[in-house]
Amino acid sequence: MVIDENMAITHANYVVIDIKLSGLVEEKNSILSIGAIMMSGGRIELGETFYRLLTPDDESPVANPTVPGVAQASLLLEQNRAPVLSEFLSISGNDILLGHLVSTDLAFLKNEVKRLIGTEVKNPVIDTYQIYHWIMRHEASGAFYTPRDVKLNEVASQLGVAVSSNHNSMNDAFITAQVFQRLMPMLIRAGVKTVGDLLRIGDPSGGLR
Amino acid sequence: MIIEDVVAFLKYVPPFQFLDEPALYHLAVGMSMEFFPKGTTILRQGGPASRYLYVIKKGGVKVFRRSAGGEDTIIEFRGQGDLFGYLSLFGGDKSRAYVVTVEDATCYTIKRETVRHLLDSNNAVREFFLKSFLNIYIDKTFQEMHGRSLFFSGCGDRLLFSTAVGEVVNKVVLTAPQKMTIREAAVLMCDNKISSLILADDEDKPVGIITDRDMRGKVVAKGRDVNDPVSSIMSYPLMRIDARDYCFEAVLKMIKYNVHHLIVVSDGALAGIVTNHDLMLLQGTSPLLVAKDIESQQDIEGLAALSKQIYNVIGILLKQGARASNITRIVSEISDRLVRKILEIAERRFARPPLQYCWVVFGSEGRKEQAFKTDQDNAIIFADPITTYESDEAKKYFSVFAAFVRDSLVQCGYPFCPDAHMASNPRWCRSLSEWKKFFSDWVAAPATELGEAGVNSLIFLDFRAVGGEFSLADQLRDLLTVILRGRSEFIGHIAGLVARNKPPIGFLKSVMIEKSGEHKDKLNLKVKGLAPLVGIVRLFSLEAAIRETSTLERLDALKARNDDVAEYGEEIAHAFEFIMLLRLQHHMEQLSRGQELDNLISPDSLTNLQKKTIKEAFNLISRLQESISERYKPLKRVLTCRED
Repeated sequence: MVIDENMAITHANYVVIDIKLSGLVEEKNSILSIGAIMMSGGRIELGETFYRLLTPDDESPVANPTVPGVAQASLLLEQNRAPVLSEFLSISGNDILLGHLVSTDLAFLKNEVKRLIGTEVKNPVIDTYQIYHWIMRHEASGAFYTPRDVKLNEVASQLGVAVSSNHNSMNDAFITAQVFQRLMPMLIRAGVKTVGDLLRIGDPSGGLR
Repeated sequence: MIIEDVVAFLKYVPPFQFLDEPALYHLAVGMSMEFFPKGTTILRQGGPASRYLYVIKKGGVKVFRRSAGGEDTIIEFRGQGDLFGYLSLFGGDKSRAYVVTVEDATCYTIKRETVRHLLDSNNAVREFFLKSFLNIYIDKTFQEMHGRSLFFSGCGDRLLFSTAVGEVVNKVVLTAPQKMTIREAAVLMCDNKISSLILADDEDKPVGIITDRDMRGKVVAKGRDVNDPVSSIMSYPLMRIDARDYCFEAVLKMIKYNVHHLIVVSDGALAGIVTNHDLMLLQGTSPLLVAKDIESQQDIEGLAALSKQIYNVIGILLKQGARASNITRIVSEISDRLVRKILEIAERRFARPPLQYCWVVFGSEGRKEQAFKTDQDNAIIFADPITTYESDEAKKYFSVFAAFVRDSLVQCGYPFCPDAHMASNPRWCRSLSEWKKFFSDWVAAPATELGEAGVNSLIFLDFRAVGGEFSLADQLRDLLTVILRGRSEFIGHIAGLVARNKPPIGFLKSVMIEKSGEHKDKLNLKVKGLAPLVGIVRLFSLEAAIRETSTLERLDALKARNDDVAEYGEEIAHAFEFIMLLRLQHHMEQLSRGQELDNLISPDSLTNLQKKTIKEAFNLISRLQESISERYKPLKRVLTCRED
């Protein structure tokens, strides 16, 4: 899976994702829902979305307090996890995956895909959290800067994106997409123009420390 | 959730509000969403055409054009729920204006094919866009066009779009402390002969304003104690505008905040005040200037030189995107003045006329629908002579007089009428009684009196006074109204003529199908497009005894009196405007290529939207003709019986 690092960030395709988990322990917990929306450059494709709820693969209760908005949708739960994951992989293709504080979600996704389907998720991944803070540091131009806003909603509000109280993964993916949409012109202004640059500053592994 | 929100938004946005829920869902899933920070140039004038129709979800944009000289003319500000990009989406290969965000903006974008599909499948949507195409953009410039002073010579261009507020600002502005009593303020205003006073706080910062209106409305009318502090009657907040802003923006601000005064600030300091009166003066300058230019001419040569510039005026108006009817109205205004000036020169030359007379024009001039100079169509109505001697003298005088006017008009670029429909022709120079008899005879026997020339004679019904004693023409119009009442044969005869000129619908079918290729057939915009519409509206006006002569004014007057017009009035007006505009553009193009002007347009030169609009116009004409035929069927039978 090779991505052209010289491609303009305004020309790349992105799959903006948000994943809800039943808990944070990989051995015990699993993915509860996947929401995704496509972006062509800075353009959010409103009809190109993906949203599936999954039955938990573990013993944890559905109404896990860390997963708001899941319980009421329990009727729609998908019993079979593998087809949902395959479908997600096929719509993602080779596009760049993009999420907010995405590293844990990504670890679960990679793990489950490997376990249930037997393939590797090799898509490049970027994290809007990393980009946001890179931009903030950049705009503070060397002045002392401490990251304050962390959560998606905080970052979104900071950038003028309307947030909703309904945090299902579809809504959050959409908000993440809008956050990225607003970050994009800032990136360009800051000189980040190619996918290669974007992947470097948006690398999720630089995550929360 | 995402799509539902989009649908909920679109439900309040025209023209999407005309779509049903499933159609809206279908539309929404094909849409994208884009974000543009403040200051982003989304479309660039002369740059590539828009690929999308943009619907502003949040924020605002400024639409403006930049002249060759680099001067920007703001066309419009658009905000939430407004659209942009549709003109270049269909109207050609490049963008016609700049669209720049004035604040952060989020837009929904709709692909061209989707919009095209909507146009094809939904009448309401199509109508909306056609109207927009004809109006929204094209309309803008008219208001100030009308008041524009660049008609002749280059006397300044004091117009809303290019005049900075600083240039019209009223610099005589007084500031007084807000603690002052009402009486003291009034005295101050009287002493300085000013109609408004700015009030400042202790730190000398402007906080409000009082005007004559406040004195009248809040003090005198309310019986307020004049020893109250003036701050109790002041208007605030004080709206500000920068001296460098265009007057147009001042007008917008006044309308938006419903105020009549704006404080003008220059580099942060108070520079004066601008009132709605100042801005109205600005708009009204030009007719005076135009008049002055014509008035100041002393001879025909001077007028002839001046009249050449009418073409330039049309060119400028067209380029600026004025509406066809507005162009022709302005041109008619100018032509009328020109004619009056010629009459004045003629009267000076041949001594005063022995009898009062009225110079009337008919045909397109009579309907104020002339743009590029067409053949002269004019006549003289002179007051009834008492004696034969008087009558002979009058005929002698007016024949020389009319010949001079005719030749002067030719010099000014208005060619002879090949059918000699001119006042210099004794047939078109008669006393009021003779004219009355002429009309009475014609109305009594419509088919015989003028024979085959009947169709052409109808343009005579569009007569309008331009110079001399207008009441003579009024009396003739009065008579016409009276004799037409109950004369259904005459109206029926005209109805027959009107219904006869069928639009070439079949011809257009091939136009719609064939994308390119050679068309030997060309469309005669005047004969097949304008004439039928003019004829239909004229017929309706005669029926309803309406005195107006211009097609659009007639339509307006007919709204309440004619069922067809009540239903299709707007469509008729749009079709008419559209075809007129096409014709004007066609003429302008021919003129620039040095060709003879004709009314023949090649379908290949039309965009799809234009073809579509013409087709709609033809369908409309057919529909109206059918309605007319239906209505006059019984009358025709009566007519036939009589002839038998």
